[in-house]
Amino acid sequence: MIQIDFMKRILHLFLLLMAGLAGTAHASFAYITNQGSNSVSVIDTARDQVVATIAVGKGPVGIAVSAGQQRAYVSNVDSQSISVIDTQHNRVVREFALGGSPVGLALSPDGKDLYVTDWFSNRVVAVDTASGEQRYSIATGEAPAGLLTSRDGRFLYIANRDSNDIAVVDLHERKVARHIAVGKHPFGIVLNPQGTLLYAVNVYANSVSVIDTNTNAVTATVGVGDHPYCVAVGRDGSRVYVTNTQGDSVAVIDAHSNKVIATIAVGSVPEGIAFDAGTNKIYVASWGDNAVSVIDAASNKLASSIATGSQSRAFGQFIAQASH
Amino acid sequence: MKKLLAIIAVALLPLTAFAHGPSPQKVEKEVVIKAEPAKVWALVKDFGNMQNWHPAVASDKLENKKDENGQDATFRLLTLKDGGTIYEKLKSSSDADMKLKYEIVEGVLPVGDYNSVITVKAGPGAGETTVTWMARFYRKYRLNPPIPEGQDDKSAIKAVTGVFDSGLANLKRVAEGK
Repeated sequence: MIQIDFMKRILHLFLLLMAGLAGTAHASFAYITNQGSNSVSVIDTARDQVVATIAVGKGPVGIAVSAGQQRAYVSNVDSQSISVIDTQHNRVVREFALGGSPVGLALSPDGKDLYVTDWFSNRVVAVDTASGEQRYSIATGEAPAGLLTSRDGRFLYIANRDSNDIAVVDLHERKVARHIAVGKHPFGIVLNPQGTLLYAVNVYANSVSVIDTNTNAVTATVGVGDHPYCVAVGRDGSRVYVTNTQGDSVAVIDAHSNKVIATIAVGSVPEGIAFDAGTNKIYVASWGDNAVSVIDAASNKLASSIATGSQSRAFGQFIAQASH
Repeated sequence: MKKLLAIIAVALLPLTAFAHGPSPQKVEKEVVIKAEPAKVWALVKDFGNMQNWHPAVASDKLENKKDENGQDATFRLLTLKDGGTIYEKLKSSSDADMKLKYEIVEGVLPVGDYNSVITVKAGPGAGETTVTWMARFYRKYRLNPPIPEGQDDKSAIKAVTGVFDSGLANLKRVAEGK
């Protein structure tokens, strides 16, 4: 009798554990900024449904998600502020006034600093995520747009759209360590999971520059579609996905050969793009269709379209990444 | 206290008075025409004859030449009835999708980076056609405020809306033979 009771308990624990695993394995959420409706649509990537719509400031563009802090940060370019979303309850808990024109967002690995590119003021601003205080700013280059932190948090990579280069900012020295010349009008950037390669999208050159982060040299330039904008990397770094805003498509680059191996038709004017490791799908904000296109990464096929808000942009890392 | 409030008010001013941003703007308009899709598409796809359906266009001169990348491309110079001109590049034209894409190279509209697509679809009723005209563009003035008059987001949207509304209304009239 005691033995059966014991077995029951074990079984119960086992079931609890399984339920816990099932609940967390695919529980990731995409935070989509909707420029025209001043909101963020929250998509549950396990079900591909909008589970919440959160009102933010005016003209939201950039997004950065911190899984550890349970926070998402949104740049409101027209109200010159940052909305802070509590991702556990999907509500805005703070709004930091910033001034200037905040566009791109990136977090330090510890989540304590939020880096904001200030488009018209040609600088990046470090904001304390706890207080909203602007700690310091660094001159970057002209029209800074996409940015991200190196894996160790030492460097910031910033695409200067109008200087046609990537600024490598040394955060210890708080200054630009070097500028890497790329193609015309770089906008979105991404690092591979290993942190060894940086991909920068050149909007006017219809290409992607591949940069070796050890040498800071451009090792390849890959031609993609019309007016490319943003970029994401798949699970192991072997595939790179680029939105072609005027081609209404996503180019799939093989990272070994640096060649486009597929072009997938998606919703009109695709902008922000992110890879979801838990479901092996790619999420693409469609500014023209007010929707998000979902691509199955295994087959490179369009799986579905999810209605969001007006003029979806989702510029930045809009799905929380597993720790690396 | 009054003085303090005044200082605070001045400090807050830039946040409200200079609201601006580098956001792309969108105008999307639709019209339902009582005519067969093939007939409507024939009018829309005729890149060198926009004067046949747009009431603001006086003449349309087609030009085939190499573009900035050395590729063969099709352009058109629209001369408007008020004397202004718009120079446009054909990006793509698909009979299968009945979709025409073009961009403005330069012209009188107060816009920058203007890309547009006209889509022709059958329906909603039998013998009817729905035409959708969508454009993505930026305002003409791309720098920090103050924004010169007539170069802000509002002016850009107003100008494009005017082009679309008058064009679609007249496309309907022409296609319906009225």
